[in-house]
Amino acid sequence: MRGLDLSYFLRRIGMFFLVVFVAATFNFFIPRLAPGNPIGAINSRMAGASSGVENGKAMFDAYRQRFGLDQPLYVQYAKYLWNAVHLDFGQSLAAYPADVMDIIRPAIGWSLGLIGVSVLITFAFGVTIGALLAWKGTPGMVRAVLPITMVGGVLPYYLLGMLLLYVFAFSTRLFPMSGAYDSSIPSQLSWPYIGSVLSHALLPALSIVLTSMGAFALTMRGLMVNTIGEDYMLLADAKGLPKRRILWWYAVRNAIPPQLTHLAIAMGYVVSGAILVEIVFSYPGLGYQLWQSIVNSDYTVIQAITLVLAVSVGLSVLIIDLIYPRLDPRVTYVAETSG
Amino acid sequence: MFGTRPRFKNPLLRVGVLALVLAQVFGASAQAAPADQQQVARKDILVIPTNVQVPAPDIWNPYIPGTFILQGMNQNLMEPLFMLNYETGAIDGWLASGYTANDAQTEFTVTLRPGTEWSDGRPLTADDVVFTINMLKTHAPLLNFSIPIKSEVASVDALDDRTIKFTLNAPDPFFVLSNLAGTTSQAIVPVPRHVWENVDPVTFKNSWNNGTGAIFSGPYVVKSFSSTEWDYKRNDNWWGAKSGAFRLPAPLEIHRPWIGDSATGQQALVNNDSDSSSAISGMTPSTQAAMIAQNPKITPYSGDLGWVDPCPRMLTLNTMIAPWDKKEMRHALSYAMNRRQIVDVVYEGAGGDSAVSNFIFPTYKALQPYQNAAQDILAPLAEYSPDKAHQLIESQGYTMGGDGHYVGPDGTTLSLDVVGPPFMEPWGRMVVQQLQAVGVDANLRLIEWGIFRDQTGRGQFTGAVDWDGCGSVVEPWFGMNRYNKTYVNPIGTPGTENVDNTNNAGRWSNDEYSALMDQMGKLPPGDPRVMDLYLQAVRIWADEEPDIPLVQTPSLLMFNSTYWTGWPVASNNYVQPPDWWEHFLKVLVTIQPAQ
Repeated sequence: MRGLDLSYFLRRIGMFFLVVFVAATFNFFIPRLAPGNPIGAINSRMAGASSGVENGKAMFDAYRQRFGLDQPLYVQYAKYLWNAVHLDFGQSLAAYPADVMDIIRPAIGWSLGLIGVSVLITFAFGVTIGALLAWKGTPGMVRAVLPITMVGGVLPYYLLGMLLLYVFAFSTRLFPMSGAYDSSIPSQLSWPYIGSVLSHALLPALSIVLTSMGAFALTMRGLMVNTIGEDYMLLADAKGLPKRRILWWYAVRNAIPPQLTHLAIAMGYVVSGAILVEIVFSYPGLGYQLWQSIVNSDYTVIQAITLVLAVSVGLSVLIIDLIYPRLDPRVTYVAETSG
Repeated sequence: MFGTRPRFKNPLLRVGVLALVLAQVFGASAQAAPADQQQVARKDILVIPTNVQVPAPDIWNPYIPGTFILQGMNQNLMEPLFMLNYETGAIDGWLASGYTANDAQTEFTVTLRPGTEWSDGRPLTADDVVFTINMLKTHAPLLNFSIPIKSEVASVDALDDRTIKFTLNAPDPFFVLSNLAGTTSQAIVPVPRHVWENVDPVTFKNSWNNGTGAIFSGPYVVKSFSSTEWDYKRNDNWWGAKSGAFRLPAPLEIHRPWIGDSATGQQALVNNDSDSSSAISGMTPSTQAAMIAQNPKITPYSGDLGWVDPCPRMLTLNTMIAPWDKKEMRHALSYAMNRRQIVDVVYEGAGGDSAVSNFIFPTYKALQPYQNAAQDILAPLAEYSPDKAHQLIESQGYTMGGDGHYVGPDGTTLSLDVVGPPFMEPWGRMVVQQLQAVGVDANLRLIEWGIFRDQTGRGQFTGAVDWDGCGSVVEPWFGMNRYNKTYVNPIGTPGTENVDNTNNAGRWSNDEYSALMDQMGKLPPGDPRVMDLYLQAVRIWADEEPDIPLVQTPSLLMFNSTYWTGWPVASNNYVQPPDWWEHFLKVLVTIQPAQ
């Protein structure tokens, strides 16, 4: 591939696996360093439901043994690594006997579906608004309207979320107030199901888009200001190229690469969810799941989610790194590595 | 159109469909329940939100420790043999019509009501109850309730189709109350032998499984569910109505959505999207008044005080850690507490002086005779007297330092580290502030609930804001026995837990008190000999004051009368009102359509 040689490719792949390994190791030890333990959390939930645990120690010991928590830490760590390599995350300790993957798989789906698409829309609108704000040819009326779209950037997610709920769910009843879909509709690719998912996703998506767009727009505006001052822009203009072509193919194309890195990192964090949005809209994403598992000291779920997070961030950055020479021909790793 | 493969030409629509496909591919396993397409009008649906999302919604096994049961399993599906009615103080029969005990309180004979059935139509008999109890014994200590059942029950036999005989290893007048009725939320419920007999109950999910699982005996069955909402439909063939024991519930369906945010829960109630305030936490009288002003159909339990939670708030002290091992120091902290100020600030004055607590009991009718009989003994425990606090602290050799904190003979500052779960912050802030005012360098550390419970249970704390004494609701022994020395474990050993908190987390050990508790525990509730033993024990407790009583816990519960009437409110208190407890079954068979 242009700008990329095998040596760099292999080193980058190796670095990716090293990062994942280090993250997996931290993910194993950090929850165990925190106070509390999963069995204590289970006991507390039992007592919360008032079923009572009259001899906590007997149950505590029995479940520690069942979950393998009585084994030496290095044994637990070795088993965890071996199982993680085989994508076997075991059973949840807090929601026993549910498989960890059965818990996080749906949450990953909803997070990718809602937050992933929201981030892409945010990126598209943010970049466009930022570019148009910096472009001299943008009509004055449009330039006056665009900053208004960034007002949402100063609002916290949850505040805007509550406002949207009040207006569109409670007052006008246009959209549902909670959940990801209507559970009374069969979950198959049908129009009623699609309609239900979209109607449930619209308000939380809107809260993410409106509050995040400003950051992309302002950064893009700054990048565009630098790009517009370049000689090749002057040359394109002197050649008489259409303004639209100059905007999109010369200015935006050259200004956008740093934004793509920003997008890649943002996409990587999509799987960690947006916890406040999930709470306000009662949306079953991965962020709330991660928070719950931390509160419950559910080691296996914490390990699985944080590993997925580490892999997704690492993979996103890896991909953008490897395709960078294609996106921006000025970038080449060949020269860097050979020189 | 329904069920056909849609075509999407618009690029934006493609992005949306991609999102849907992702959600579909990853999320399919969470939607195991088949759906019923029949639409039911809002007026026929009871909407009771929950404030918890359930990560594994397909687990319907109430005996796996930690299984979430408050999404409706406890209130709509399962049925106990008995339930304790706080309002009347009686143990009411539900699946069972009654019980008898021998004089020695070692044999209990329980009689099932006629016609009891499972939701699949098969008869629920004594054999199912015997199977359930033996299952708990066999799988102890891995199942809920299994530990006390194994240690207490020598044998359980079906005398006939309707009659079960429990034979205990030792006398226990509280056997039915503790296990078969449940003092608060949950009791032992029978499970169908024909479903459970060939499974491992420790790993059995009892999942919906195309209608073959999740069979209980309650008036509702699962209609559909996800991790964020649960729908139940009425079982029109419910045994309770067929046999004439109860009225068939009026709501055709019950919808229980997860509402994660209290403000959203408030809006839902105001907008008639919810029939109960169960998803709303931290209610105050002013918020309640504002909501009622917006929707006059919102019906509070009663005035400003609301329903009193069975667990008064306390300051628990670790009596194994100096200087809190000295009763004088504990009394000093008690005198430092301005309880009325806590009521005024935390409850906005709700309940006034009646919300001040001087012992471990809630202000329930059945406990009033006991509270009244000990009033002279207990009154000083609610006294606010900074002067007495200073005298007691100084009597232990402390002198006031220049920074306003007491300093001990060894030069160390008198300090108290108070821990609490996040939702106890309002009480904790007040306690710390009032301790600081008398010269104790107190600080509040908020820690997550599970960690808090684990650490207090292990005794790895010095002070804690909690409700460590709660348990008594109709008789005095249950709560008082939590201070029995038998529950004292060394620091670092997991606690012995019961009824929403840790037994004797403060590790107070008193031989005389414990002996009195042992004697009281052998007498059935209501026995005239209880009062004398109780008074003797209260004198010791008040003299030692192992925990510092603070305030009652008014719970501002509200219901919505737009669609349903007959709610359990103070003027019609046929049962306690929490809609997350098993007693809600009684509400289900009582409420009627408003329209």
